[in-house]
Amino acid sequence: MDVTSLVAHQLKYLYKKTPLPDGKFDWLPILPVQVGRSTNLTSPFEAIVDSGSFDCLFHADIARAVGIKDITTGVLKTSGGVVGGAQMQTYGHEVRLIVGSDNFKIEAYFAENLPIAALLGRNGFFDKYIVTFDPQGATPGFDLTRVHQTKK
Amino acid sequence: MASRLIEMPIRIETEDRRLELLRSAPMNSWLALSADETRIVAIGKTFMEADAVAKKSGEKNYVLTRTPDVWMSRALLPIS
Repeated sequence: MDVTSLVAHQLKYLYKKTPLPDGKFDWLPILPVQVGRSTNLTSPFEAIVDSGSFDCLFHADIARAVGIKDITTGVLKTSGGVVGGAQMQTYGHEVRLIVGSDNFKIEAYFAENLPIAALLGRNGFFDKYIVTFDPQGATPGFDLTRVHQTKK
Repeated sequence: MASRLIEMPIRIETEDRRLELLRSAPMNSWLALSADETRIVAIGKTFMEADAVAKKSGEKNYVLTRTPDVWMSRALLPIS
């Protein structure tokens, strides 16, 4: 597949602190996003930018907020973690992902037992943005550079 | 190429306040945080519940987030 890429704009966000046990914390690349479907649009919520995730994963509550009453009507995909045996049933539905003033269709996967609000993974997010992580310095952060791809 | 930079209004004090708020919140819940992340605007068992309470409060530009069952480092779903 020939692909022509056009860099459109660049956005910079700072990492956010997230609690860990024993009073410790971690800095995470957290991005405020919205999800839309038909005329429904969620309020902004936090999603972790996670290059380790194959898909964009959302808690099932997000699906219900855009009118998907039963996530199991979507395409079933079983996702797993690095721990052997740990698996999660996810269900794919087409939605729009809104990042700032940008929005595009993605196949989002929803799960009832996702412990966080959302993960932005390779399929649906990293194919739209060049992501540069910079965890060093006084203000750790990440850059998003939007890339529009045109299939030839 | 158009380029623009968004500087989030985050200071160390604000980030520490964010940590305090997250630690104080009930687990497995949805929170609506004020735009400067110094206040919890709403708490709900579901996204829509927290969102409805936040909207009713009249707060502008809040952002929702979810607390997990336990705060811990996670290796998140690298395979599919």
